[in-house]
Amino acid sequence: MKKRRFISIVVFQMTLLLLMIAYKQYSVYTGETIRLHLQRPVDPRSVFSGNYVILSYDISTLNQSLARGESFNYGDTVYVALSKQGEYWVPASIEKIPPKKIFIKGTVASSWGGSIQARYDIEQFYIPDSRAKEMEERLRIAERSGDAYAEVVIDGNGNAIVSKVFLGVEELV
Amino acid sequence: MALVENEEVNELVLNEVRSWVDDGIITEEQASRISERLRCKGKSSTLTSSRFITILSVMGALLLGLGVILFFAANWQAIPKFVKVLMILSLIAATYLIGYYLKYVKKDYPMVGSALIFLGCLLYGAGIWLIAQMYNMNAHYPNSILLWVAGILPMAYLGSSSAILVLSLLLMSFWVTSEVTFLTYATRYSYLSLIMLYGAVLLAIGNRHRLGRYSFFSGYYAVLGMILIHVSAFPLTFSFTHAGSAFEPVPETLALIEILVMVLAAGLTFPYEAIKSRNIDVSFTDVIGVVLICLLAISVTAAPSLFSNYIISNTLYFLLLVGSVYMGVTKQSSGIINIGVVFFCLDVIARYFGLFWELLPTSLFFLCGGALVLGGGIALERKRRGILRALKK
Repeated sequence: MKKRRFISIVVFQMTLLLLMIAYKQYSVYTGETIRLHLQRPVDPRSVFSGNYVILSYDISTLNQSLARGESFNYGDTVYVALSKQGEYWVPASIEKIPPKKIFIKGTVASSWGGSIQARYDIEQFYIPDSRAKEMEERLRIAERSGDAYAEVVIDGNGNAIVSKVFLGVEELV
Repeated sequence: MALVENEEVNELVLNEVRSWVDDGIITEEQASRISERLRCKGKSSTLTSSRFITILSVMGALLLGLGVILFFAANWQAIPKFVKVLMILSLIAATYLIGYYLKYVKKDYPMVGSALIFLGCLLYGAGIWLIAQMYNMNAHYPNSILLWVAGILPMAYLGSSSAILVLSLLLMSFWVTSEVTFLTYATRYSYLSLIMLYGAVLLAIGNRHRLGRYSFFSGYYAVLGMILIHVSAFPLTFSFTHAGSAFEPVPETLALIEILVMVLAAGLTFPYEAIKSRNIDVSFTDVIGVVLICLLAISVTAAPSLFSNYIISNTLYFLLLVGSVYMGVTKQSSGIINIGVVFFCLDVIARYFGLFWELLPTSLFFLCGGALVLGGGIALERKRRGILRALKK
């Protein structure tokens, strides 16, 4: 086996991993942090990634009226313009092209009965293995009280990363 | 013909043969034949033990890889993100470099070296999951699998490593089956049809590999392809597969994908080399076989109502079984023959249950079934062994 070729494949793999990091770090450095209200967080487990919480936001279910006559189907890219109401940011309109104001980019998961379900790649939040049991209990309490929210960083292209999750005043770590 | 008499030369030749196996130049079977030819029968046990060491090394690499994946999955908060990334990148680089050194530079522990390179491929996958975990990424999870395959498939070819190829093929198949479920037209028929087409492409790639540098990879592609073809075609012979289905027209995009895949599969199987060398024995049997499988797959979406007819779906599946065994015989592939025989047995058992469960009293049903399975099993095993013996000759 040629040494140079072997090294080039190893470098190629490293580059792919570093590109993954760079893509997300770009959003972290250039993005703006906003607060999104959460509904019913659930705690499942993945073999590869460990324990995580499934996050469902108020902006996960959008009213079709916000689309102003435009139709959205499964798999379509959706740009949701956001406006601040009190502490949290809420959807102002749903667009097919990036709007001028702050927006989040998502994909339509389903569209029926006057509402659109959208996903934004912020629906998963990983938690340490050692604290999984304790988290489950805290999530149950948060589900009842309904005062959970997430801090999300959104860059200029609408790409989002969930950075922190709060259950009431306590941060989920 | 006493080719090799000297003990040291014997050892030298055997070492060389072993490295050919490691480099993928020859198969284990060919290595055994060479050692036999050199009258080194006494030493051929070295090859058996080397195979054992290879299996042991791969198992060790798998366990280590799993341990690292689970370590990072535990998401230790005490370790900062930056350190975690540095840890995984250094671990990947060190594993690959030690593996390379042992296998190609020092050549003392080629199998351990191969196992370490394989471990490097697993660690690369662990790295992808770690980064996804760090940034709480979840968008379209099959992308991570594709990224994993894109990184390790070149390593399988460069290192002629069967273990890495099998890992890549399994991941690739997982990616295809996951991706198909995300398609907008993911009905049960389009799902089965696309998996069958993917199987046909694997079969075609296996065929392309038969001649040339990577001939030892051919079997892995062909066997996995054939398994996927049968796994997706077999359910069509059951009436419950068709229960409550709406036979909708085929979306244009799906039709286009299916036709393109068929052209790709046929193109991969086409005997260019034979035509180029003006070989008078140019055979288009493989192309016809692959195209027929693709047409069967396409008709699953184009005319699903056809398969809801019990007699037609069973007749077509029976033809596929016969075709598979024929393909196995012409390709001299025991793997493909075995797949054909196994699915034939499953088909007979399924049809027996389907036809006689309600017609016969329960006791008689099991008595007849047991006799059928036992008798059929003995007869089929004899036939299968006969074919394999004939192939070996």
